[in-house]
Amino acid sequence: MMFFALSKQAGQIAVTNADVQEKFPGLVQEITSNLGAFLPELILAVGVMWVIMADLFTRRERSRRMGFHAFAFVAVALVSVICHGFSGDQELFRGMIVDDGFGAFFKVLLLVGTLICIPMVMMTRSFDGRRMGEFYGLLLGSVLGMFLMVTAKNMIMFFLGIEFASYTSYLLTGYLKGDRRGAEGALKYVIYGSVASGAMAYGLSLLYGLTGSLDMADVAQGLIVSRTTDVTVLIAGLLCFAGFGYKIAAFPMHFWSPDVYEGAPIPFTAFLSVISKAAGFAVLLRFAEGMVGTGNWELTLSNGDVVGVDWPLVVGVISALTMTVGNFAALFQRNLKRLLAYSSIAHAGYLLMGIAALAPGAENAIPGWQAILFYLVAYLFMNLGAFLVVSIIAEKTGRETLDAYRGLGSRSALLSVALGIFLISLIGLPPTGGFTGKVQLIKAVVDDGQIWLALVAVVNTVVSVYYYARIIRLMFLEESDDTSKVPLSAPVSAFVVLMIVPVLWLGVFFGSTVDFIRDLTLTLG
Amino acid sequence: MGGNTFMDIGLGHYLAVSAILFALGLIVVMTRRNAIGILMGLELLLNAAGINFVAFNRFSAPERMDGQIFVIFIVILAAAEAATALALVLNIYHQIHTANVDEAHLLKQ
Amino acid sequence: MLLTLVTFIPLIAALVVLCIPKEQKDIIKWTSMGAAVVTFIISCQLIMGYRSGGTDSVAEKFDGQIQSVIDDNVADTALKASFQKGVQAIEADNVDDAVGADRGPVHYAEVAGIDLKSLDAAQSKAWHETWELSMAKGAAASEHIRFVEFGHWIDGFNIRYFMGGDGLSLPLIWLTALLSVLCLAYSWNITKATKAYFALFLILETGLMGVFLALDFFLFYVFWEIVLLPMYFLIGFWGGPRRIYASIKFFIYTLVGSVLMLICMLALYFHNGFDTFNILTLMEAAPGFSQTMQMWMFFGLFIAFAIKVPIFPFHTWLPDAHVQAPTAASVILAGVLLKMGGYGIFRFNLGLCPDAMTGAIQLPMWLGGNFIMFMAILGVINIVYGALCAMAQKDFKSMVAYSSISHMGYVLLGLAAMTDAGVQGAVLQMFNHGLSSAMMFLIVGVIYERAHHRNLNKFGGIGAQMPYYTGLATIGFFASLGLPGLNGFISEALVFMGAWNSHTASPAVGVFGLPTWIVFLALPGIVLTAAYILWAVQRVFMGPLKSETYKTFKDLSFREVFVLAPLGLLCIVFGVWPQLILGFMNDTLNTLVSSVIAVAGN
Repeated sequence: MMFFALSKQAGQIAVTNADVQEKFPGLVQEITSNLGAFLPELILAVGVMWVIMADLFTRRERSRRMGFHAFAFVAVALVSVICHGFSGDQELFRGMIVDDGFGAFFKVLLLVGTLICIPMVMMTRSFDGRRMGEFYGLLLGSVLGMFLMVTAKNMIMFFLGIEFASYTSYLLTGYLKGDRRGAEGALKYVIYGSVASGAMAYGLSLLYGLTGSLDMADVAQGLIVSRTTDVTVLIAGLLCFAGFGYKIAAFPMHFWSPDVYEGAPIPFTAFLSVISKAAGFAVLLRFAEGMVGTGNWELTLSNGDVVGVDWPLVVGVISALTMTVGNFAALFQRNLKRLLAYSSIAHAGYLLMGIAALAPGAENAIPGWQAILFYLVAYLFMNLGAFLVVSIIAEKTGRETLDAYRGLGSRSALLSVALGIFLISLIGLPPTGGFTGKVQLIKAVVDDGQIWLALVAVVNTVVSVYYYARIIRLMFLEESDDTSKVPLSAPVSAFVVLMIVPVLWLGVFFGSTVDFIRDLTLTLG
Repeated sequence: MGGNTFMDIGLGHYLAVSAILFALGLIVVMTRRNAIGILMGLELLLNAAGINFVAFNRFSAPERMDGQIFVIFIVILAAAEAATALALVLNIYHQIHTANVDEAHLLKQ
Repeated sequence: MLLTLVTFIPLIAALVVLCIPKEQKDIIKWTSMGAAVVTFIISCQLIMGYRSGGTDSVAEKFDGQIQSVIDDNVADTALKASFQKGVQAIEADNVDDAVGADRGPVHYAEVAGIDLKSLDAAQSKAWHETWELSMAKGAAASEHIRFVEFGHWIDGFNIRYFMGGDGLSLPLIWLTALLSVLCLAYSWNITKATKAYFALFLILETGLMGVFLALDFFLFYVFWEIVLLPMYFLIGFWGGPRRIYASIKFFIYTLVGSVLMLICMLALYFHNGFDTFNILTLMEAAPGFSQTMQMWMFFGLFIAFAIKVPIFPFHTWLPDAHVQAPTAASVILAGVLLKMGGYGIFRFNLGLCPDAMTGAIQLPMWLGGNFIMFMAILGVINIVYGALCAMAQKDFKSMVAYSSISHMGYVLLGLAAMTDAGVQGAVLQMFNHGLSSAMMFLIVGVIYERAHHRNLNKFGGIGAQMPYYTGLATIGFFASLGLPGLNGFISEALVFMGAWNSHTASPAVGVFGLPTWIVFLALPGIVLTAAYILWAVQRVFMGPLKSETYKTFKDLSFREVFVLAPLGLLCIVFGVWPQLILGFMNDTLNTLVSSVIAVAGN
């Protein structure tokens, strides 16, 4: 009988060449015409192969030059994304991915972040004497995977994107083969990550079962029509969230991140904490926005019953727990990399507030997703900036612990002031991008009526002051026995200054960025 | 589809099997200390999802092949995952001469 | 223009100072001093201008701005006419004290017959701004605001660069400018990281000026936070042995308050579709806020400001911060930073929560029953508890710090009285305390520089050794004590008069009146103040020299006289001629009170 069923289905599968022509006329032309919008991805794909191949023809001691090649490819991809513009509004490849302003925005964010990370990799001496072609190949591959994540519309595509980005990340974490911490971090990362993606696959299968489609818009639409109990939807949603949550390191999927962040090479930790997280938020947003767009976020019937799961509350609780766990754990850290890992968990919590407030009440208010996008821009610069200073200090002193920062104020004014600004921005004090970003997030939740979440966020902000200010205190208020100056080359100084400028700019003149984000197109199908 | 017991196997049965498989996978992942064992548990998780996809495709949305295609990708991803993970396990095995994850405790909890 | 200058000259000077090589200490000091003096001169000009200027020019400015907004964005004459109609409707309600009415932009659009849905983006923005400015114009007139500056900052969120000076803010501006000059002069012999010190001090001055001048809530918040960091570093880097603990405590306490303020600010922004941070607009609309809303606003804002004042039980950061801070930072801290809290309570709690200030909002009995009693009780606790603590201190500086807590209690008591005398006394007390506490901290600083300790019990006989110092110190101490003829007396007397009169005057106009027993509870504060101050004077200046080393003490240097003498002089001037400053505040304060009374009348 089973066999009968299968054979019956096999009849459906059997597709002849003629069928292709008949069912999909002009398929080839369609694919080629879509390639134009796919150019950045193609550039990256060529870049991946190029750096690996070119590295084979380079002598080992010159292998670090591959950084320039990778940088060039990323820069060209960035130019092509910008030239393509932010007003696209179409589906590509039969609804597999979309070309819209939202996706383009995230592509720019990912590429700018990568452009900042690559010089950090080149500055890191622990990579000296290693073949770097593979590293950059994997790095570009990871970005390519994230591109697919942020533009995916079909769940197959977006699962593939997540896995692509993840596998490359696992390998990059353990890239320093002799380094035991890196090896441990990578092992933990791969185990946690695989469990999360397994759970997500299961959640996706449930969603598929509930709605009968893998297209995100259809899923969102289908969830309204389906008459399933809330519990099933909740379980499916939470299992999917396990996958997203692990990417953005949200509670309770955050356990991997401190170990991985501490074990990975610093530039890659920076990459993970900002770029990978941004990509995770992009998918989460697109997924959630799809549900809001079709009204499933919180569908209230005329008799006042709320249909479906109260997602704002669920996400709000996760957000509150994430920031609280991150901040309180960060209080007790001595290793700055680990401290920043916990702080980035806390920031994922702040960002999740925007998802809890996706559909605000008032007319002129900022929807949560715009607040998230703005905060991600600010977060990109402030967190990468902080990691940049940490990486420079680690290179100069060989230490990542807080002790290395004692008396830094008198040893290097630029580095200490820069780190001070980044930390103030991470706390969320004016006049920095962190402040304006956080205000927008809090604004979104206040507008949505979730005052309790806003209160949790501000209490967390106060808690976070304690550990951020401890670093500031160590740098400026305490003196160290070692008073030797930290030498900085001119390009490195310029690099640091370049990171400060956007942080302050976003704190004072954030209007243009807000307007830009407001005008982005978001295609949900 | 008729009355014999064989014919009665429906969506529910498949879902039950996959749920059991998923649960077993989770138990393996949580209880095993050996990295290879954990990886085997992961395969169970992915396969549970695969069964779901096929079953849903067959019973809920037979008009399109989405679910089946997803399963093919899951199989490929599982292979890639195993390759990646085993490489990393090998890497740590070279250093601490065990694949027991409890031994990997250099990083603070 | 003057307001912008007075705010940003110090900041620009700070940036200049940062560019000067750190070996050039003299250039750094003189640049900073120059900037502070220029700022002070401009602040004097503001004061002069305020007395002679009228409110008409401000109204004209508003009218011009409204007209240009309409002209720039609305071409259609019919629509223009409806906009004008809306403006007239708003202005009519402004004069009318339309209490309890819906004063949102949507309401007035209906009144004027504007269909908001048919407007394009620029037009609906223009309507919003027209509404915002017309409302603000009403409040500006009644607040007697005589200087305004208005510009767009972040259009997307209707955040403005909106500054204004009135009788409440300008005296504090002048005080800030004056104390900054004196503090920089006093800090002349700072050798540790001179450049950073002077730069931070100037940034601090900008923040303080901005806090007092900003009339946009968002702008206010930004300046409020800007004040935080320089002070943190000043205490943390140049402070005493426990400076790190004290500075982080200061930082965290203040931040708790400011994040509460942030939430209140956003709640106000979203209230009734206002979408504005304009403080004047919100004040004009405040009588329409629901009582529940006002209650929560009052709590949120009050705690935020109470931490800064500081009001019991949020005061514990203050003794630590003061004792550890370097003298000049203590002076600014006591002289101006505490006034940020007081100013905030007057500007926001009074302006935005009128129902709370009439006592109409019921509170649980253990909180006093209503907000007036709530504040009065906290004020009395501050006065008495602060004085008792001051008496118990052995450390000279921490005695002065606790005396600040005690003195700031009068501000709260005066406000709670809700009579003209009480409110004037409260604001005058802020100003006077700025002078006298600054002087007391300088006095402590002078002796600490010589003796390197501050233990009151170890001093003695300084009077004979340093006669000029003793003379000036006595003025400061007695001003703080409230001796007639010195400034402290006037403000405390006004506060007591107001509070005493409250139970007859206030209920007559529908405001809750303070019972007389509250005044009796506060009276011991005066006795205790006299006790700890006289006892301190006795221990420090009288009696035989307690240590041989005191014989080597030189009397005041020229620089120290330059710092102390003006303050002493001002204490006397404002003591015998308080009208000089009172006449200045009267208009603004009386309307603040009468606007609350107007609410009660309805």
